[in-house]
Amino acid sequence: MTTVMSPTAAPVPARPASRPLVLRIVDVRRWPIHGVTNWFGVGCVVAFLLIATVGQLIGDPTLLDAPGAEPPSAEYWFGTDTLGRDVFARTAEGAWNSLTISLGTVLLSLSVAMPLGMLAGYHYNGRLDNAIMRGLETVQALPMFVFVMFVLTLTGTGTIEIGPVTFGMRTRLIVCLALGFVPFFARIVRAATLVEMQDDYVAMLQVLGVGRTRILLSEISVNVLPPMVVQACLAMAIAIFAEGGLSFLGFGLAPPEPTLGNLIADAGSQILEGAWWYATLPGAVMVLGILGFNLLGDALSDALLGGSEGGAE
Amino acid sequence: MSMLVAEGLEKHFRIDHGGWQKSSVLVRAVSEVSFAVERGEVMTIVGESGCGKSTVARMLVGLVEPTRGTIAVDGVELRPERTARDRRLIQLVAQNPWSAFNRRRTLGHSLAQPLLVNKVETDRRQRRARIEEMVERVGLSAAHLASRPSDVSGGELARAALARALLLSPKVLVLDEPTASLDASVKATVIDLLRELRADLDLSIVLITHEIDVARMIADRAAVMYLGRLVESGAAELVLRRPSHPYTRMLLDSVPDPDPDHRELAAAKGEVPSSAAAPHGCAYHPRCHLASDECGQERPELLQHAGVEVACHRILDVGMPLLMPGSLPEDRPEPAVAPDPPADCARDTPTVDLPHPQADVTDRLEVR
Amino acid sequence: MSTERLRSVVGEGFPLSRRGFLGITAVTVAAATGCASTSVASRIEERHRDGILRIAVASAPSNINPLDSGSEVTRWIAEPVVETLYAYDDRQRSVPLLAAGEPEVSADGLTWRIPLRSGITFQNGDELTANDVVATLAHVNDLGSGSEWITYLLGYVQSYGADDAYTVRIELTKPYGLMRSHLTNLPIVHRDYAKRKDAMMGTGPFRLESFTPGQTFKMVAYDGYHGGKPDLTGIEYTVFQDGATRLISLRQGKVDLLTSVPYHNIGSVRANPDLHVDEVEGPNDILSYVAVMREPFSDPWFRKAVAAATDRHGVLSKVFGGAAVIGQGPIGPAEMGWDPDLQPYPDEPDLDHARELLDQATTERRDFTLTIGTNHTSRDMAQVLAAGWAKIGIDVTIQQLAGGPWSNKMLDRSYDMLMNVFQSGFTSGPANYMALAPAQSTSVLSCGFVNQEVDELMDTVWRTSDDEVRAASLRRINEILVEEAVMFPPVYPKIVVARLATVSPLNLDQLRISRVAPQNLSLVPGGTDE
Repeated sequence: MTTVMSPTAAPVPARPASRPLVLRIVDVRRWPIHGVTNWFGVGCVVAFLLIATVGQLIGDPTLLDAPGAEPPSAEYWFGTDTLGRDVFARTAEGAWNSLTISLGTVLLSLSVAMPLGMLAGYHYNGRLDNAIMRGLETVQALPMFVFVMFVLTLTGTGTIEIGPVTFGMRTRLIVCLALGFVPFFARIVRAATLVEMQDDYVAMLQVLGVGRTRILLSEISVNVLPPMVVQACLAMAIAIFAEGGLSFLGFGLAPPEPTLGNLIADAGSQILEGAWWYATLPGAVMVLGILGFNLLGDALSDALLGGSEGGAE
Repeated sequence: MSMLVAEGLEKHFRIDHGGWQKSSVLVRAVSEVSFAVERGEVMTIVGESGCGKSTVARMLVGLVEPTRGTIAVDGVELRPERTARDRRLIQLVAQNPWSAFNRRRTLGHSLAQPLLVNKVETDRRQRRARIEEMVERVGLSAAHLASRPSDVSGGELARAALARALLLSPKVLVLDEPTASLDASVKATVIDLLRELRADLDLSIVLITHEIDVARMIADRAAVMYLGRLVESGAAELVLRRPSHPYTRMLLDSVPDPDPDHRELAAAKGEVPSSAAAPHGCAYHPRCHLASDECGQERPELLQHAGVEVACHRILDVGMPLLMPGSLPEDRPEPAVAPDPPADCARDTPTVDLPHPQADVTDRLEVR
Repeated sequence: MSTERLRSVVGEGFPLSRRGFLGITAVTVAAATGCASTSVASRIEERHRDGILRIAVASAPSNINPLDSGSEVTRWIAEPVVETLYAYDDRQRSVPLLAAGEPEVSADGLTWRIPLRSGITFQNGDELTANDVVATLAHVNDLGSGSEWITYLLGYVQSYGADDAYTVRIELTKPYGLMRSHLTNLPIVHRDYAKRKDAMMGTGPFRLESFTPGQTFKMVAYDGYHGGKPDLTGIEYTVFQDGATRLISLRQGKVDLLTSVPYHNIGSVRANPDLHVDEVEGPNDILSYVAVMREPFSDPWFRKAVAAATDRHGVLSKVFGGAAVIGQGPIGPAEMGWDPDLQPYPDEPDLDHARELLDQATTERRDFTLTIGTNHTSRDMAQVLAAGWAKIGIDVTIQQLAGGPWSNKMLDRSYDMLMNVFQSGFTSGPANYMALAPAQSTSVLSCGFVNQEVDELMDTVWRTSDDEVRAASLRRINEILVEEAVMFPPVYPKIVVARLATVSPLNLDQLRISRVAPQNLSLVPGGTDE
């Protein structure tokens, strides 16, 4: 066989480039150096995660330990609430609950929005695209907070059993919040898919006989996913905020389960009594989470979407 | 029997303007295009951008469904919905190697796709071996398979794109501007590779290009398209070196001359009309210096003339086919021995200097 | 960059700067509050020159017809405007007010004739006649009117009419002892206003001048009032739904009197020397009962174990700030049938005893759902109780439901344990008959508890006109329900009203039956010495 070696055909590529995405995110050298705020964001997220995980091991969030509201002390780092419960333990548990709810919300909405958005983008201007987009607009037209409150008011905070399936408050919160995020994510996915569809490689894959499902699942999705990871981080921040807002209004998890939002809500009236710690410390943790995930989203967008990963040339 | 027969290909697009009262415009991108390519033959379709040649390419490989007309490869008529067998008959190499591959997938992944989805090679190890064999054949190494498109050069990508198309062992290869986005030196090596493969694999090739020099280097036969129609077709020796149609002459005349003293580009009169509003009669007549009243009224048929097929009412007034500048058969470059062109040299057109026979009839434009 | 991203994500507005704005506002408000405290006294003095008493209430009804609801929400606003045929004196005896004297009851107890005083005028100048009382009765006996009085009157009242301009006649289907109670609590309104939901017209000392639904209600003194002329020139009600806001308004001297002081803020109210707080035992109940027809509460041992493990003291101190009395049975200390000697349950839960009781239970279940209302007090209470029950290994799920869904749960009996704060308000004086309804097996609200003695006693309570007999019956019902552990509220909350020191003292005897009676208050410039 004849092989033509041209001078420009370098034998081996200069850089190892095929390591998994996760490794490349973790690789500190690939992070932008100017990222003081990025590192601050990562720090916030780590602190938040620590409180939500390790913090839970300290204290009992439901035990009525103290006789009433007490200021922070060596025994109760964040003080106690009016019922005498350890506010730190409740904050940690609340952070965990807020984290799982917002994470669940983002994952659920992404898992619905990705296929919808990619299908719509693949069939741009087609009947399916129109149907999906009109559907999403309908959902978007609902005032989301009001809608969530309406659903949760009707169903209360207890568990609901539909046949063999039990819908806890947590599931319902996640489903309701996720519904609000779906149109937002789906639009981004659709736009990103549209961009990919313009690219020659999709046409090439079609010529090569690669089917629609395979193109969407294994080719377009890998290009749509990185921007979505960034959006998901930002959405996490919003979800924590939204869950906090809903809990504050009394639509969160059923008591005595704490969330950051209902801790702050319970504390509201106690500021009058001089119990500053009761609202401010859980509030600070909530800010940590919102700020952290926001900045992490920015950091990821630099790491995933900037630089050499930005596309062909 | 010809390896590829395209018969009466037409493609009309309807462009909706939307609005309250929906108005739409019918664009005849391709009309009545017929040609045949023999086994092992390279047929080139040249023309300015927007003339419909890419649409022809896309129809050939099934990306675009023809409005009318048939395509047959090796005696098998191809439906618009291609089967795995059809794909093994005809394959495409796209214009831009940078975008021909998924930027977040390794070349190895991309090259495995045709074998996988067409169930050509289901065994993982054998598939791997076959891919490695192919990439070596196009001048790459197995190590490239672990790379992503952003980590290799354009020339390497072009080779990889070729390799991917060839993995299905097609009988016909459609190359849509395969070298347009490559450096001159790289271009030469890719063309060399094409020649090699054609000889080795007995491939029939349809080369879609606007680069006359590339076409001259490799084509056996040539067809010239203008506004969706063939205006001239025949042996490449004739069409690309001694053109008959006024448009072909203008086109060849506009091939830039590398000699700095002759850096002048012939330009046709006026703009290329939109194919949404193609002129009546001969589509070229508004720009043609020979145009008569007849040209504006009736469309000329493709007719035999001096060894080629030409569609021109004034063919008898055009005069004898003339040898065009830079088109001597001897000046085919041999890249293996040719010296590397200077880095700032954008093109590697042969450097034969000849008088411009039509300098008196064509408007000339200084190129700065 | 992150701000921009957040903006683009949220879609509109500037969340961060808005949050910043809120922060600045909060700081400003706090600073202003601090600065303002010195001038509170002078501001109050300035404000009091107009002689208007300002009252902060927690909520206001959209339908202000005082005949439709007996709850405080409606009636605290209607109190100065409307009057009743009979009224409670300070010893909670029913004495004539608009009536000229005691009703004339026929020997079979089925025909009541009530004489009316003459010369009494409504605030529009029309004289009160029997036609007004008949129009009032017609409204509250009309099934379609939506008046809650129908639950008391349906099946008892056969007909009513005017014998003459000053005599009202009521025909009953059977002897009805509670009729006198109803005549003491049911307001009489002008015949043209009986059906109106957007206006009030009564014979009281103040007339409703203007109002913004759900926000403010302005009353001015009625010069033609038949009784003594009030000191105040007007009364103004303002709705502050948030307890803390309500309290701040009082502290800053913007309002003079505050009903429904939030229990969790009671400490700071007590500690404030500028405020007076009245805490009295009243017909304020924690409605609390279990579904006896279903596991796990069908098991009496389980019920008794839960009752024994109830953290009454925790609720009293942590939720009510001490403004309550330890609970036993459904009948509280301000209510007819209260038995101070009946104390089967200790203040602090007796966990060992509770575990022993639980061991005897045949049910395998060690969990139940506690369904409560959405208010803060219920939520805190439920959490304290759940923590207590958890100590004997009973896992409680707390379900918070808004009014409508909560009531549906009560009616379709799909609860395990129901709990809510409940006030009988202005419907039954020193008693709360409705709170006992679920114990009666024939009631639509029945919780599945079937006890013939209770059913018979309940009939007696409604039928008898002898208060002694009624009280004895209630006492016995209370005893049975405690023993069977069907109704065991953790505490009996007190009625808590706070006012500025510059407002004359409330009549606590009237407050015991929920009456704030602001029409009888006056403004005392130098403050009162109490």
